[in-house]
Amino acid sequence: MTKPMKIRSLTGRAAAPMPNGLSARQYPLGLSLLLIAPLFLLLGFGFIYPVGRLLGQSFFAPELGLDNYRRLLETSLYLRVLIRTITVAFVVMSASLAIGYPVALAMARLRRDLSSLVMACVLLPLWTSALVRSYAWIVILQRRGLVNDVLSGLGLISEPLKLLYTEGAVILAMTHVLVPFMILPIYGALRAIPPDLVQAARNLGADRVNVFIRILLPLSLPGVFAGCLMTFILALGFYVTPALVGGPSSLLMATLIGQQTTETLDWGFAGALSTVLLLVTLLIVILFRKVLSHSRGISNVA
Amino acid sequence: MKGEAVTLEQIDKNFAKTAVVRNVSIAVQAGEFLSLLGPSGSGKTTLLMMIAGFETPNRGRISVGARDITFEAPNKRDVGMVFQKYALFPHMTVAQNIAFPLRMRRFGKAEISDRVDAMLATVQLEGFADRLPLQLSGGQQQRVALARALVAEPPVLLMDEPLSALDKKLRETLQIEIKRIQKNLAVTVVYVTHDQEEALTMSDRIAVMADGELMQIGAPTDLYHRPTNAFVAGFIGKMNFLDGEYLGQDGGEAVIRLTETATLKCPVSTVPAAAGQRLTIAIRPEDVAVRQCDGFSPQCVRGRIEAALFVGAAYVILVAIEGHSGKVLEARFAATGGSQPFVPGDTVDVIFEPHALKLFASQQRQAA
Repeated sequence: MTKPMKIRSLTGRAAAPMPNGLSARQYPLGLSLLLIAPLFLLLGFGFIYPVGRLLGQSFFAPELGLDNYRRLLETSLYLRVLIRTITVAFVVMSASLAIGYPVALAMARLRRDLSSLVMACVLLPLWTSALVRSYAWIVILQRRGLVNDVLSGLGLISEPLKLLYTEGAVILAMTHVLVPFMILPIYGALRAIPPDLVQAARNLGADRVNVFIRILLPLSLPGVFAGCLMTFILALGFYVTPALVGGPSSLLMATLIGQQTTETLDWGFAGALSTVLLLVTLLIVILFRKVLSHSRGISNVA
Repeated sequence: MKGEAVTLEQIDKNFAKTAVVRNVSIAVQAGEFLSLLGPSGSGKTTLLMMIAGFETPNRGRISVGARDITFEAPNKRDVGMVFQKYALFPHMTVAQNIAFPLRMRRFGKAEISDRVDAMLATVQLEGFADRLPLQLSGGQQQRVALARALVAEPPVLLMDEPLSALDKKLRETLQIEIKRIQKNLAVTVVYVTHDQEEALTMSDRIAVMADGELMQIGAPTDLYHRPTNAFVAGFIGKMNFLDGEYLGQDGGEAVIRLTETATLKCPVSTVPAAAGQRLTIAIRPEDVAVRQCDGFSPQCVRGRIEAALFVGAAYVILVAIEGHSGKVLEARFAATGGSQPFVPGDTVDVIFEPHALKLFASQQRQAA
C-alpha cells in the first residue's frame, strides 16, 4: 500500500512552478521569505534559543558532563514519572478518541444548524482557560464536592471518596481539556467524505455497520491520526491541569520540570528532564509517521 | 442477468412544504432503457433517489418485478446505481471497488475474482485492477463505476447524469458503450439526464418531466414528431411558437388567424380549442419553408429576413412575421452547396404546411 505516496508526488509535481519564468500561483522567493520572517524570528528568539539554552544547561550545569542524565536514569522515581507521563498521555489519547469519535460522527451526520450547535458546545471549553476548567474539576471532585454529595445523598457511600489529587482525576480533567483536539480533525475528515460514497455503499448492499467499517472509518483515519497525535503530544507536556488536580502520587514530567526550575532552581536537571521529554515526543512523532506511511495514503498530518 | 420491470404508481414527494414530484406513474418494461429527461428542478433526480431508496415517497408505490420496494432499505433493493460523480471509494483499488457489492453479498473469494475479471473485460479495463480511482481518467472512473454497479447482476440499473462531467467526445463514446453493455446484459435502465440529445440517442423511451409532473412518455421519435403539449414540443428539439386564434371551420378545414391579414388552414382533428379561442401554433425550424415573395397565397405569411446564418450543415434564417408583434421565426434548411440564398432585409413568403403545424391550447406551460 505504498501507491498513495505516488499520487502525492504526482500532484506535487503539478503544483511546481514552470522551469522558465514565474508561476502566477506562487509568490517570488523574496516575498515569501519576507512573509515568513516574523514567525521565524519569533520562533528563533522565543523558542529555539531558550529551549536550546535549557537543553544545553543539562550538559553544563552545575559542571560539564552527563551527571544530570545519570541521576535521571539512576533514580527510579524519575523513571517512574516518565513512564507514568507516557501512560497517562496514552490513556488520555485513548479516552479522547473513545469519547470524541462518536461526537465527530454525530456532528458530521447532523443537520447543519444542529451540527453548528454541537460544534459550539465542543469549542466553548476551548475558549475557557485550562486553569478555570481545572478548578471546575476541583469543585466537582473535592471531598465535599458534587460527586461525593450526590453519592452520599443516595446512600451509596458512608464517607467521602478520595477523588481529587489522584491519577484518575488527572486523566479525567486532561481528557476534558483535550477532547476538542480529537473531535475537530476527525470531524473535518468525516465532513470531507462525499455523501454519495455512503449512498453508493448502501446501494451496493452495505448495511449501516458495513458503511461505517469499510467507508467512513478508513476514510476518517487521517483525522483520527491527527487527533491522536495532537492529544498525545499535548498530554505529554501538560502542566496546569496535572499540577492542580494531581497529587504527589500522580506527578508528571511537566510538573516535575516546573518544580526543578521554580522550587529547587536546578536548571541543569530541569534541562535534562526537558531533553528526555523532547526526545520521547520526537520518537513518538516519528513512530506515528512510520505507521502512517504504511496505512494507505494517510500522510500530511504528522 | 435478466432485467425486471420497474413500476412507479402515483408517486408524490414533498420536501418541506414544496411538492417536487406530483402524481407520477411510469411503467418501465423489463430490459428497457428509459430516460427521465427534464430541466433542473423537474423532479427527475428525486424520482431516481426514490427508486434507489435514498428518499421515500409521501404517497404511491414503487415496485421492481413483483417486489414492492417502496420502503425497503437501500441495501436490500438489489438495484444498481451509477452516480454523477462516480462515487468510487478512493481508498480501494479498482478491483476492490468492483468486488465491494460481491463482498457485501458474501460471495466466495474465487467467484469474486472471476466476476471482477469478467466485469473488467466488459468495461475494457483489463490491466487496471490494481490502480486507485485517482489514478484513472474521468472516463475510466465512470467505467469502473458502471462495472461496480453491474457486477452483482442487479435486474435494474439507475444512472444519475453519469456522463455530465465528461467532455463531448468521451461522452459520445461512452453513450455507445453503455448502450452496448445494456443490450448485452438485458438490464433495465432508468437514466436521468437533462441532455435531450443524450436521451434521444440512448433511450427506448423517454419520460419528460417538468415541475415534478410527467409531461409525456414515449419513444424518442414520438416525442419529437408528436408532442402532446407545448412543453414537450419546446423542450425536445427546436420549436417556433406563434400565437393564433381559431376562427372556425371552413369546408372541412380549420381556419386559424395568425395576423390581421393572414390565416392558416389545417386539419380540424388537430385543433385543441373551440371556435373563437386563442391557441399556440408550433412549427419546427426545418418545417418552415421560406421563398422569395411572389404575392399572396393562403398558407403564406409575409415576413422580412432579420438574419441569415451558416451553421455548417445548414442555413438558419430568422424571419420577422409581418403584423405579428415582432415575433421572429427560425427556419432551417440543408446547406447543399452554393451560397446563402437570402440576405437580411429581403421580404419573403413564409409557408406553413398544414401537416407540419402542431396546435396547443394557449395557456399551456412552455419550455424556457
